[in-house]
Amino acid sequence: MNAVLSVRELKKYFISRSGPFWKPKIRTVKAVDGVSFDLGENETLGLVGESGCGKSTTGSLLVRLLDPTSGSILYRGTELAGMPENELAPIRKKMQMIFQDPYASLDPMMTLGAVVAEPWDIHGLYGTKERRVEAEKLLALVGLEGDYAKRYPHELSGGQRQRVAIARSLALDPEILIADEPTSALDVSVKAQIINLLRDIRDRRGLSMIFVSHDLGVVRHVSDRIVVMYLGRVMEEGLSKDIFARPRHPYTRALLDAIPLPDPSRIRERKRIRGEASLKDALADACPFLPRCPNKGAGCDSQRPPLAELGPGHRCACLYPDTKEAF
Amino acid sequence: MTRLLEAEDLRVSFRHKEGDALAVRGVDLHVDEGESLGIVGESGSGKSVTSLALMGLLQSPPAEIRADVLTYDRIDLARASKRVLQDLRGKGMAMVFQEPMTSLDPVFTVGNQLAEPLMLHLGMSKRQANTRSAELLARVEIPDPAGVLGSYPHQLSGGMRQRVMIAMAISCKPKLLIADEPTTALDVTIQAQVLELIKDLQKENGMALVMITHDMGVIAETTDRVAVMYGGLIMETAGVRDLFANPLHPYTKALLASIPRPDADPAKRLYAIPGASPNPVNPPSGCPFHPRCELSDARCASDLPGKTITGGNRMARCWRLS
Repeated sequence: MNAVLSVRELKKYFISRSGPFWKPKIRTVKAVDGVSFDLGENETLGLVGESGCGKSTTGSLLVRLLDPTSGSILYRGTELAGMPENELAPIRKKMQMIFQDPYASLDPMMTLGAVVAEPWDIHGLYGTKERRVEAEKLLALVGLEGDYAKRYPHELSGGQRQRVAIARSLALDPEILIADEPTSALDVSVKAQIINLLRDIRDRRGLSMIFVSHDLGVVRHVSDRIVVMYLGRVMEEGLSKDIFARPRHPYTRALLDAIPLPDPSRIRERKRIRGEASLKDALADACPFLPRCPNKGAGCDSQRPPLAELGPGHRCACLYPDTKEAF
Repeated sequence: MTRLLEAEDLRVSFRHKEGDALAVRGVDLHVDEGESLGIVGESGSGKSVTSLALMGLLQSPPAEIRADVLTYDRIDLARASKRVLQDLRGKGMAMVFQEPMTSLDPVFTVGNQLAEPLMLHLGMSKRQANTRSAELLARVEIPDPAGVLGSYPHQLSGGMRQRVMIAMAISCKPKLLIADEPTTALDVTIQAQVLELIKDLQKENGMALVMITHDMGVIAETTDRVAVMYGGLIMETAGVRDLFANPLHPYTKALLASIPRPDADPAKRLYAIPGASPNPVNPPSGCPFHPRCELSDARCASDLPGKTITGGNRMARCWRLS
């Protein structure tokens, strides 16, 4: 695989203070704790997991909205970790982000034309007249034809706003899109529109994409490959079709089993897990999933299971992997 | 079977500076003892407002509620006194909301808030209420109930808070539980736990359930009968198996086709319903779904279709069916 982006042993630790200011309790929160993966050319990689697993933090680290504690982010061979801010600009052009909440990510005082043209402003591209024409073209590309360039965000529905955010992310003709829960705030009927739009644009422009989401149904419909995270670590990685057919990590299995399917006549054999994901319960030298794991056995509490190759491109950090089919 | 809750031609509007917002435009529904009714719809469909109106939780003004029939256990909710209503809420029907952080009081401990309805409705002493509260927390599978009784809502996780809300809702053994998107703010593994808990409690207490959600998966898993809402109207009602196996209304069909299912073939393109949900201040004429419907014609744009009743206790509002 030709990697556009290579992430190795990426870590992000936050310092959390609680308690009164004269006697603060200081704790290190390991939001991302040694994550490695590659993003191939024209590939969509789904980063999935529940809240607190570090998927969004990872997304932000890739575009250096956050600075990593340690680890490496290689973009076509160039190291982004530790790169000074002024050198990042040309690389940020190549990596653009789409956020979850289109109500928060668009400036309410700017017309949609100005929103879409702002990246050109920042990077000094196009003249005033060209910007207007190009902005209209971009808005049309995402299905907002007509006089949308003159309108303001409050005049739009949630789905339309997310279209604007997508248009803006395309303004600089990026190679990589990082979409952080782009459909989570949308209604079911609109969600499908945005999923289809993202797929079309990706295919037409040959984009590589990192798709961060907790919604496995959505992830299945956009991703070629999937990385499953839990408490800052990668639990399983593999081709989307392999993971959805036969998840190997008991956590992945539990995630798939937990999804309520819109099919009342279907009886599934489901593995339920108890408890919640909690960094406080996780032991330092044990599998982070151990407190909730239905498969646990000897050795799980004395080491962090390494990502082991279980098939071509399919890796799983578990000593007692599952073997059953998912659905 | 005894009819617990009944509403006929329920209408709710809100005063709005651009005109009245018609949130609910004539809804008929009923819930029998022990059964589960699902109300499914997208944002703005009127599903939450319907449930708040049933519970008598809408402030009037700005809300204006009208109904031909609105009864719980043959008590007329529109005419009942405040005292009767207060007695009903908690003991008769109870509600669980989407965001437990906003429905729990941040300045009181969990124990305090759990004991309140027990003392108020069941006349328990403080000590009895405390013992019962701990039992309730244990029943909703909260580890360390005694510890949680003394904690404040912000010290608990979202899943734990929702369990506390459920414990509070069932504390006076209501005959009807209305759950408004109870798992939408939760992670999927926690959602599975909470849905299972609600189903177990329903069975244990012989409680009726109204499950309000946007998620067809949740509907499939928790309900017997479903009402599909759109633009303030019920577009279709059916038994849960019939609805999924053979949806009648074009909106139901489109909605089911647009779900990105984790067990579906991802190579197949999702069906996307064009456009967006209607604006309740200025709803489209005729059928509220007609601007987005592939099958609509001139009649759909001018006249609201009536209710077509078909076999197996099904109803759908569509000109194509009448």
